[in-house]
Amino acid sequence: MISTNVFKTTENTSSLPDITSSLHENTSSHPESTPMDQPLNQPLDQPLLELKRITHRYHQADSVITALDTVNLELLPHEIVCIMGPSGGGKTTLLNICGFLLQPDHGKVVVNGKVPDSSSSHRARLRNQVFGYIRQDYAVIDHDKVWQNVAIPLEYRAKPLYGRKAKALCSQALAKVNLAGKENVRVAQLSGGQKQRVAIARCLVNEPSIILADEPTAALDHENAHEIITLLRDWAHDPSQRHGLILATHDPRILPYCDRIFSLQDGTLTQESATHLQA
Amino acid sequence: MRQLFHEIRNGITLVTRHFVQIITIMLLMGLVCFSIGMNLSTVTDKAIALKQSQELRAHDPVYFSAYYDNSVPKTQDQSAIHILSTELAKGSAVSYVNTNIELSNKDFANRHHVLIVMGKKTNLAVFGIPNPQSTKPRAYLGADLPEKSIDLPIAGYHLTASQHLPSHASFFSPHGFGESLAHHVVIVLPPSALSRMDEQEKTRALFNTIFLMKEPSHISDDDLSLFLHSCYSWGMSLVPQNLSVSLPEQFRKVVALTISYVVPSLALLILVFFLFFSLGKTLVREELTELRIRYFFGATLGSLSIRVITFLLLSLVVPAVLPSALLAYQAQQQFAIPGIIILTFTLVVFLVCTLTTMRTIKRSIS
Repeated sequence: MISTNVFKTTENTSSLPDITSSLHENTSSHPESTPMDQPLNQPLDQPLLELKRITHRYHQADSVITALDTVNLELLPHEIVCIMGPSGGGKTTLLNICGFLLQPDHGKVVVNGKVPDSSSSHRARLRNQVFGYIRQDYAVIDHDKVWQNVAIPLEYRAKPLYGRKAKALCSQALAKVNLAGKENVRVAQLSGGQKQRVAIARCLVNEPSIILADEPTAALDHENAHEIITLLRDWAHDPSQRHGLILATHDPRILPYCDRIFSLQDGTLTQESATHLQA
Repeated sequence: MRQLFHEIRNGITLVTRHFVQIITIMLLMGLVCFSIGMNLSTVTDKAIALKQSQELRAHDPVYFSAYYDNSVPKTQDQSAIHILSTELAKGSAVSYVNTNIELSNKDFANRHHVLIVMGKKTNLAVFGIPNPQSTKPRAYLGADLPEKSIDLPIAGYHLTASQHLPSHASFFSPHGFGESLAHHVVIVLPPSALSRMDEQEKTRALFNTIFLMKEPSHISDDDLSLFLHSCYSWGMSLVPQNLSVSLPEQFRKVVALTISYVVPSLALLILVFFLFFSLGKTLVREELTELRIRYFFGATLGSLSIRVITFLLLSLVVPAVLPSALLAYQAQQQFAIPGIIILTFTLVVFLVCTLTTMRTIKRSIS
């Protein structure tokens, strides 16, 4: 439980034309602010995550590249949303904005119906409590043990967990990804598929409501890719939880598992039909 | 607060992954500190000697180069000793015996190098000893000698050296140029002691004589001629040399020597600093993945910077500064200057590495 108020309701900000300034104006002292770790109290049809008119540009020496141009997106509970598009098309930027790793130039990100405070410490708390991240390169620390990798999110909780308590939680998370008993193995000794499962266990250990996966199967063979996407699908479709998954991928093997598929090209996000893409 | 300690503890844990790099940094910095310390010390001694030689040059000095002739029977005519004693007493000559062994007593001066100086103008040969113009018999210990006192029975005197010379004390010889007295035992003897020295010491004193020709009471031509002739009976032909003539050549030699010391030192310094900077960047690069992961999962840039600062302080600054600190502790001033250079550079690299790491984490996400 976070002691400070992190969110404010969307109704209070949606009418403001300049979203960036509204983020700064809306501080944690708002009377309607509520703690963020109460997603189960939300209505069932309340989106887990909403991107509203997100625009983000990269400024280079002589030019400005628009990575995202007035992008809108909703992630509903139990939903798997897939973002497809060419390399450099802005998929990772979109995920980074979703996950509060990057602040958009314009627009707002709404989590469980509320606009979070824009301070860096609150964004860090959000990254820790609401989101989990999976990346193509596994993003694991090879020379550490499996459980030490999985325990990282626990160290940044409001009440951090270290040592034996953390290891116990890591064991539970590792069991969920079929890596029980591998706690003390060095990550360097694992295969690519196992490393990706360590990354998933690291996401699950802190019980996030949203997982952002950037090309999670790109470096995996068919069997491992199937295993990973099945794990993620089961997690997202767990009826007892309000979970959602956003995937950025090139991998057509993933498409049958997705509920909605978007194409991101030249900064514009367009919804596609799954059959159209598979064809 | 708990988070702060956690980040510091984890910063320390990161250090344990990089023992090879840390040992490499320690060796590199130890090498560069030792090398520059030694070279700087030599160059400083030469520079002090050069300054001294300028003072000596003002007295229009004549010194001798010797050719030894073993075919001549050594009758050891005492006229040379008498003339030298007289000139030393008048203040128109300086002589010294520079030796590392006493034939009759091998443990003399605890086997340290010994410099015996004689004459009223010893200040022209040695720099840094107290009351240089006094001929009173006394002895001093070099700045880096560990002994508290050494008993020195010599030429009928029983001297005790208990006072240490300052670390910049040095000795000028027209034959060898500058030399530090940090590891010498220095003995000042009156001219009358010359006659009580042994044969070896007398021979060296004759050869190492410097006559000061600008003094009003300088040695006459007849006496000089007699001195040279008498020295022949000691088995050596002395050839007079004018220091004023040979000094510019010696100056050029010193400049060349200085360059030969300074240039490789500078090259080594630049090379080591380049390696050090590369090692610093490698250390940071190896940890970037973990730092990024931690940022994804809730670390703030503030908490990461504590971790990075702890890590870089222990893996860069401490191993870089420790060898020079130890060397400076052992030999003080000699390694103080390279120590300061290394400390300054290390702090610059530390700052650059810390700032670039934090900037890289931020950039890699945005």
